[in-house]
Amino acid sequence: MALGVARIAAPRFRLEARSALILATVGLLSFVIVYPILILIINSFVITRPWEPPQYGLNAWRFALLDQSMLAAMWNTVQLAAVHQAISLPIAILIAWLIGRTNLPFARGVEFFFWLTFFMPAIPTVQAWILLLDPNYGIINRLLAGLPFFESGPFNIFSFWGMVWMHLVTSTVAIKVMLFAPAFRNLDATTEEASTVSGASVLQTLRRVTVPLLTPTLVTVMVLALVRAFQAVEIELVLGLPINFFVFGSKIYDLTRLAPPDYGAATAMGTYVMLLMVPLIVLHRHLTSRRSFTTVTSAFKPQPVNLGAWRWPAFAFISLTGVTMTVVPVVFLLMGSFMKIYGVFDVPSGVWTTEHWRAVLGDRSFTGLVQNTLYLALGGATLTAVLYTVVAYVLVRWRFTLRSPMDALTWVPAALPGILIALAWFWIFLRTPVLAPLTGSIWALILVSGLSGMTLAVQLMKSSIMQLGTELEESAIVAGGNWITTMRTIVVPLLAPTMVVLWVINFVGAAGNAIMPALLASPASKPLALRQLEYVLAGDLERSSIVGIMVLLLNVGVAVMARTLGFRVGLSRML
Amino acid sequence: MASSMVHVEHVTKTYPGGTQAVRDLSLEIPEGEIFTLVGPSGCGKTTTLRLIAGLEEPDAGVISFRDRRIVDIAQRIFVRANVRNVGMVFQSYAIWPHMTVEENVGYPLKLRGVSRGRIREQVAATLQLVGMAGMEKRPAPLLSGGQQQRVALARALVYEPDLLLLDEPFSNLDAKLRDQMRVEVKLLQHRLGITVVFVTHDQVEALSLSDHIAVMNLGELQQVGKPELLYQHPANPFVRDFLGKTILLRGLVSARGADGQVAVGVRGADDCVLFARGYDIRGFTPGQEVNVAIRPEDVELVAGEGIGTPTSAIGGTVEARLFMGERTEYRVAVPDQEPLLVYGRREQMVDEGGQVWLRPHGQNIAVWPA
Repeated sequence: MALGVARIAAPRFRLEARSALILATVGLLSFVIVYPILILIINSFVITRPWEPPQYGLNAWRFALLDQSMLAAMWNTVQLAAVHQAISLPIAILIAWLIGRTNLPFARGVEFFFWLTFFMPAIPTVQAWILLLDPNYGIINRLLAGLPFFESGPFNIFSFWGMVWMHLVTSTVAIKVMLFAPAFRNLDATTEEASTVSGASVLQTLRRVTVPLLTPTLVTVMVLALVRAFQAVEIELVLGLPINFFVFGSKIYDLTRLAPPDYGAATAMGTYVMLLMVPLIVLHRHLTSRRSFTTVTSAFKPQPVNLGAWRWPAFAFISLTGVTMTVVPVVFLLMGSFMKIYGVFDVPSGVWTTEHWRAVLGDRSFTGLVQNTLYLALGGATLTAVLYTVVAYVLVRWRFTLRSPMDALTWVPAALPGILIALAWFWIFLRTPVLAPLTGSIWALILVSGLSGMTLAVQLMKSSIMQLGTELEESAIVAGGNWITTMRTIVVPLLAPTMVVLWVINFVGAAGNAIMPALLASPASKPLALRQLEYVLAGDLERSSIVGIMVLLLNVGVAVMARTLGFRVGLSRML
Repeated sequence: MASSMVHVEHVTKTYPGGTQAVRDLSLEIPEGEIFTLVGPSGCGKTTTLRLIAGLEEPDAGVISFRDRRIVDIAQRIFVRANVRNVGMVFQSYAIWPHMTVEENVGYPLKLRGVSRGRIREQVAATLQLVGMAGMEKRPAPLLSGGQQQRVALARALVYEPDLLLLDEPFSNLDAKLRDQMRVEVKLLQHRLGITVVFVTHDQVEALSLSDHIAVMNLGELQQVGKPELLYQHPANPFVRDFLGKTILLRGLVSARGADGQVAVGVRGADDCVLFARGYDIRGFTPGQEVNVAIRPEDVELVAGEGIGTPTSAIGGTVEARLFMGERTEYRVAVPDQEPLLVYGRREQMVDEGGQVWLRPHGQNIAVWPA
């Protein structure tokens, strides 16, 4: 039992490694969050074109705040968000309750539909629904027009309500179900049983006990949903542009696509929306951080509510909803890609063809698109999974002066619509000489791709690290491990599952994102998603459907693969 | 007393935020003994253990293992936790969930560059020692609480550390398992002769397991000594009330004897005079209000119906009877006193509402300032 210790000075190396990592974290967060915001604010006052020497003025702000079309876009954003949120909330609560708290048949199975929806990019889904709901040739419209009481098809997807519908069948309901279902599942069943014993019916208990108990969760999800609603742009772009209906996000996109582009107005508009979002994010952070330690579930097993005769009707309702969100878009997009003219069934020479597939696959630029998409998704996912793990670790485990402002900074990207982040980086690449070589390159896209997902990623990782318990690391140190050994043998292996989850979420986000590359990619670095958006906006729905299917299958494939390997890619820890 | 394994001298630790966890603490931990740090939560006992382990750096003070300085803040000496060669069992056990039992226990040996064959032998031997023989391949998440604890113990012992630190190791076990593990740890310590520093908030655990106990409160050391000494001669009311149950009677000093005893008349029982010792009786003067402390087992309960007034007894009425199995506890109302909790013999049952006499006996009656 020799005492294997020597006189040594304070643990110099450990302190240096720690300081270096803290410094790197502070530097990284300042660079990717504070700098772009400053750039946005500064450039919102620039009245000259980007390539001209800058002159400053209030023109852009005047336009952004007073112009009729800008005001209309803001009003549309609020209106659209209010309507689809108001519709989706009760539906999502009902579905989540059925999945989480009742004896619904195959509850875990039907939950999978909503999980899957989360990983499906919006634009391909919208295009599939165009096939069904186009006012002239939409399949549903044509079927209904055949019935005696309809003169023509009643639905028009290129409308306000068309956009509401698309929000409901893409992520708006699905994400809420994903967030609510675990909350319902973990609810203390005795509170409901007490209500039942007191004489309340199932629905009375749901209304008077269950929902009030979950109010904190509901409020948090609502705030998150409103933030997301402000960030929405793809659906509005595809369905709104043809009818001159703009929301804030699509307006910014449009301003940057004009000839000549009006970057000043876009930037000014983005800046004030960013400021509007701040209170929402502060509220969201307040709600979530207050609850972060109380979500530990107890060991008891809640008794599910017996639906009785409603079991199978409820199952039918949820399955139908789930199929509408997942199977329908895939099937009809695939079908459309084999049509001579997308959606048109009365073509004299025959409806079906493989010529578009042959054209797309034979196109020499196609390989480049696939390559770019894979580089972007793989690179972005890997970079962000590693970086955000380090950031989260530093924020959770180490105390340093700037810790709390840095922690607050990681919430800022949640307030920044993706198009705004892209716009800010457009300016950065333009105005920062050191970064100029990256402009338009795949590296630029990789760097920016993970930024809008930062809040979610850092929060997920932080909660993982908190659950890890410092004792697991301390016991390794007492056992004789130094800091690096402990990291390598204990921390990284234990965080690996969460890192995979971050990786999948960022992979899907990067591969499906068309908006960010629209502002930052060059023809050489263009990914599939952007090419699809270009095809859609140009009206080439045949090629667009093919590219869309590829993006869709790539994302769903990666998510399902991760799930099959046993990684629980979920968002519930966001609450 | 054996020579000291650990010296702690004037150690102070303040956490960021201003909480002073340990204040000017000095301790001598004898070699080859079980030394227990006990106190209520927040008393600084776990911080002290972590300072010894090297998981915290003190603001001031010196810590030595035998005659080697491990920490000397004034000299800027701080030996890192990973080279102190101590074993530690954490409250949560901290079993790494991504490893098997064998990998958990073998980890410290692997870090020390021990060959694979040696590791396997030593892990097997240590698992044998803690009663987990043959469980090498079991994945950590499949272990029960008791098994996790045995693995944690094996992991802390496998590299033959000079010192074993136990941070509330039994608090997550159910009552039966806890009793069993206490005995096993005591036997294991006897067999290995290793020095153990043990942290607990449970006074029964502290009294039953330790060779020496240090009672702490609010970051300060209250008293150090053998369990019997602390129980029978507590240095202050905190130690008295923390270790074991106490019956407190209010009374007046009637005389101070030359034999170091104080005669105290008990309030509400006119002819009951108790002869009590004090930790320091010089301060007591006749007529002074005082408290008399008696351990419940030093009070005899006599059913009062139909007998005359016994000498030096306190009369009362049974408010509640709690049958505990091996004995019965009575809550007795006594005039001019707080209700008292007294033990009765199993074969003698007094009904609630019945009259009883309480007769203190033995040498362990202590007087304290009111």
